Amino acid sequence: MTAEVEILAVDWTELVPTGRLEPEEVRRLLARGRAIASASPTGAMPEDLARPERIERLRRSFAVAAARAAVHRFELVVQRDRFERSERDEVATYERHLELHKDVVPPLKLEARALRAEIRKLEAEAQARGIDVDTVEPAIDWRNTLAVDGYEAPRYETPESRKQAAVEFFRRVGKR
Amino acid sequence: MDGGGETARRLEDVALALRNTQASAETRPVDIPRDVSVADPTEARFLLYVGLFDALVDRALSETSSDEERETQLRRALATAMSAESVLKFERHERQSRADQNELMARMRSREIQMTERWMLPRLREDIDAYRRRIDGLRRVLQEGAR
Repeated sequence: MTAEVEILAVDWTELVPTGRLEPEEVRRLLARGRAIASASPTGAMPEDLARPERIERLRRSFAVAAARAAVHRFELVVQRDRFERSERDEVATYERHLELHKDVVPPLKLEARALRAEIRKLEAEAQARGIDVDTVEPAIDWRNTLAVDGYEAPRYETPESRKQAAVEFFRRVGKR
Repeated sequence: MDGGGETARRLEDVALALRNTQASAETRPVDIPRDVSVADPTEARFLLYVGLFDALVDRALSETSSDEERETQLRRALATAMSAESVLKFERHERQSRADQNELMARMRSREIQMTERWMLPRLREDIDAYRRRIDGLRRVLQEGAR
């Protein structure tokens, strides 16, 4: 049984010219990768290094830097759909949330608030005429209703309202 | 100095091509033999890439004629790879963080949207219906009392 690891097809084409990797070759590449990565040079190149050693050091550094870049690119490419989907979902939920709390909920809450005020007015009128409002049907179980008496619809700024506010601000400032 | 062959130039080109994040998302599976010990697929992918890039260096350098040329080509390729690495590292961090944040926001908003659509709106409509019936009842009683 074997585990499986994926690399980008474009990298495969570039880095596996034979188009095949036999198990023994994979074993060798991983061992080679491990040896290079564990002895990867860090810091500036010592000035007194002989050319063959410099070349050896450069090739190790290149293999590690290119591999790191390839791993970052792999994640960026394979997660591209996720990144795009997350942007779309964020915008869609933002718009729906805004629509609900700007266009759907406020009119209903304001209507409920107005109706509750109308009930209080009619009950006061009935009581003034000596009617026991508790006997009037249908009754309302107020504890099970949504409290909306103190509700005020949120005010959402628009580009126009911001512009108007700025004009009014500068008009006031200019008067001083 | 600049007389590297096609393959030597390709070393730098390959490093440069790593910056292309619009590449196809198609992948190729590579079987890792059971007897090879690797911590996780991420480590295996990294070690495999190191081995593959080093093998590429082998092929590229075999076509160069002098150590001086090899060093020049390697320096260029290394500079390009390091530049690509830092750009991609930043972009990956940035895009992943943004995606995490977007997903969190979308999840929280979705819960709130569901709460509003499935609970608050039906409740408000029920309340409004009840208020209207109560108003009708009160008006009826008031009208009857006025007669």
